[in-house]
Amino acid sequence: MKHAVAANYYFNVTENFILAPQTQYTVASNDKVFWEAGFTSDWEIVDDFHVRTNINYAFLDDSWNQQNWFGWVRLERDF
Amino acid sequence: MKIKKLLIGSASMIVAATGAKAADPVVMIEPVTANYVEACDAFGSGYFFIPGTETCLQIGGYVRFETKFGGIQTGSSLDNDWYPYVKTNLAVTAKSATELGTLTSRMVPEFYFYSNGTGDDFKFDEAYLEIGDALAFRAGYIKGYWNEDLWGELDNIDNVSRYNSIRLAYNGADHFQIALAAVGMTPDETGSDGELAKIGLSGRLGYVVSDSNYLKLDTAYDTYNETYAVRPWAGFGIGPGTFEIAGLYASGFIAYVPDFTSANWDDLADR
Repeated sequence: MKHAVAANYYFNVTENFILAPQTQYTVASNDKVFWEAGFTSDWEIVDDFHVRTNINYAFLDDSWNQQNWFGWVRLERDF
Repeated sequence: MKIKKLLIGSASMIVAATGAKAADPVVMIEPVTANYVEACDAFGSGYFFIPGTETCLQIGGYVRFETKFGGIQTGSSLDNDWYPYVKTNLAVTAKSATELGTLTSRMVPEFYFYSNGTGDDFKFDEAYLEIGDALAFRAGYIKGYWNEDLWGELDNIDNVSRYNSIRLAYNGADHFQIALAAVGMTPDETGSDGELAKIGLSGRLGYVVSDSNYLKLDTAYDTYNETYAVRPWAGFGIGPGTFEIAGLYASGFIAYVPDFTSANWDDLADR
């Protein structure tokens, strides 16, 4: 990677639900340029029990030979 | 007071007894140990005294079940690339007050089971010892500043930056953060041929009021590849939430930042 700029804005939709739209602009070492955009959400169902979802899309054409959609869904209990 | 007198009394009796007949009975008074765990509030919440010691212990962690899908660094355009995995994180922290400041040791082993063929795996999240307070010296397997991401974990402005390192850091009540770390990078992380570690350097300058209001500058230098990276980032509390923005520049291949070329990308030969 040569350089990149990433940004997100996270805020409480309700008391226990946080949403964060996010994006990144990247210039790779080969001077190819691409954008990624998506969101992450965190729902604390009860205290210390989080359902966290991260879904993104990378704007890459076929020549990159990569997947466009990526992310994860996470259940986590913190103590 | 009564007990003390009794003890002194019995001690003088022992002295007297040794001088006299050895057959005199000596009554030993056993110290009474507490049979409960005492909370330790000197280092924040969650600590308790290890019974019979001045050391405070905290146990934390998490259990995670996650399903991942896709990925722009997989080198594959396969659409149905997904797998679940489970992860446990157990954090054990011991702290005690000393004349040189707080003495800390922390170990955070992580166990995984992946359903993508990797099977089970073991990693350290962190394992280090540290001494000091506002100015602290840390040595061990340190999770570095470059491991930190924006809240949303888009995860492409940071990298897995855990190294065997030594670090001197200032984290003052005045919100300033100043840190310098020297790390041992493995041959994999530098792309060197040998089996020897190479030295990496990283630094942090920050003004961190809270998670919602901060300015940070991370720097890194790879002495083997002679490459460097800088990452300025900032967070601002705006309206109901927090806006975060991060910039990144890398002069070439360096393990501290994501590598979107080399083996990760099929269309590219050079780094």
